Amino acid sequence: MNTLSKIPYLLREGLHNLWSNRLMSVSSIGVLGVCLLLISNAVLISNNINGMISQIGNEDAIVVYLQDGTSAEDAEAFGGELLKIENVEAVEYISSKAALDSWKEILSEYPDILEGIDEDFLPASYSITVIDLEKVDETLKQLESMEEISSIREMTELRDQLIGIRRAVSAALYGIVVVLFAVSLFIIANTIKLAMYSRRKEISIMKYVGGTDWFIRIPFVVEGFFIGLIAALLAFFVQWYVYQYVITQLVTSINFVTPIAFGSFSGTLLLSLCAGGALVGMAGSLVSIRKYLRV
Amino acid sequence: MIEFRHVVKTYPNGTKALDDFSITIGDGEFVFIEGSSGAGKSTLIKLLMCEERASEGEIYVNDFDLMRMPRRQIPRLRRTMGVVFQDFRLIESMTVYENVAFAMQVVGASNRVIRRRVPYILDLVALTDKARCRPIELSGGEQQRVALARALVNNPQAIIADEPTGNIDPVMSFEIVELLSAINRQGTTVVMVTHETELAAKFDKRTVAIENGRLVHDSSSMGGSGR
Repeated sequence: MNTLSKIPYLLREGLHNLWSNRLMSVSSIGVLGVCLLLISNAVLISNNINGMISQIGNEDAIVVYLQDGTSAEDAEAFGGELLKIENVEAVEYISSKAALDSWKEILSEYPDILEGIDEDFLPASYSITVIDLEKVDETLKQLESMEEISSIREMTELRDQLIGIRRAVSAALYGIVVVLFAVSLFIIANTIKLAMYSRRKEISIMKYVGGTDWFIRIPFVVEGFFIGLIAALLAFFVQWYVYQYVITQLVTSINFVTPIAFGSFSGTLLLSLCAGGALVGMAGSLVSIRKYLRV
Repeated sequence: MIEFRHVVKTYPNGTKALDDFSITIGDGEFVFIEGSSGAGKSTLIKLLMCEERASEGEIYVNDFDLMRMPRRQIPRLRRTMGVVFQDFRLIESMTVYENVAFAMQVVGASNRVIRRRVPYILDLVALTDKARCRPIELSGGEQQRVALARALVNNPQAIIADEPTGNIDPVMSFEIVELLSAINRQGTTVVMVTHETELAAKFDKRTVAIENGRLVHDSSSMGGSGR
């Protein structure tokens, strides 16, 4: 009597349960699939919003103006120093001349305003792209201690608003995920309860001939596992379609941001959905079996 | 060996089903336990199978101490016994063969062992030609023989039969008890609970009577047959 020899039997029993309760199985796969799909949509939409916020906020979050008279070489070397700061992702050097040129472009309709101004009238600057918007305060402290910098400009208000939006999106996401997981668990638990009810006679016989609790449980856990897995696969393929044709279109319509490509996260999404579905399936079974095993 | 020492069982609603009940059943014995309904016979079986725990006293079954045994040991205890019920408790969707094989699968026997053992047991209860039938196609007596085969298939030390003849006609009933006697002659302990005193009287076996949860008569202590 080894444990391995029982595995085919237990698997077969689980699939048998799935099939003999097929109406219930199909409906729980459907509802669970919808739950998983909603969860994954919530995650993807929030990821895209976060991506958007990063695109808007992180880029050129801080502009530092260099001291007057900093030579081109010193300025270049200083760029390297800036990149060493933890939260700095990229820096862009804007020379005095480049700064003046961009103003000339902006004021091209009034060319006389900037007439006769020296090329080094405006200070040279670095535009800094940060990694994490929420760590900008620390970055600013580090920048303030640098002698090469004469002044710093950053958009505190915009930054706070973006951080606020991002936090709200994350909180909503967690809320949605928790509620939908609870709903999924409830659905699976009910299906398994019905499966157990229809097999209560077998279960009682199993108990009388000395079947262990785990031996009786496993087929139902297997059933829950497959319900979760099938629901996850369905959700993944529907998600693929929905993402390509709905979310992508929606994000693209906001014309200055690019949506995250489905291919870049499809593997992770598939794995997470399958793991989540299977886990909820098994947990749901275990919840409903507990009561029935007291013979 | 089955031993009850001063066992009391009181249910949560206050009903005292067994009261200072003591009995010793040796290995290889055949015992009829008689009593009208409500006498405490069902409680006795429930305590034996550890489906219920006694309120007081000591119970030992096949080297298991039922009062101190942890829950996870219950399957091991039950594997030492085969149970037969009045209502047969066969699974309608399975054939006769599958019903018997099921009891072996549950305890994790390999397919090879099952294929060898089930036909042997079906032959023992004379049901070889019904192996492919479903319970609904069988008579009551035949169904009870399937249940008996299922109880026997894991080679238990004892057979516990709870009113096994309650749902079948007198001729078939007699056959079932004869079959139990034959099994007993092979060395298996048999405890048969019944309210049919006339049927029990036809066999020269130890007879124990329960009334209101108390043992009121034991033929072995009155010079009756022990086997």
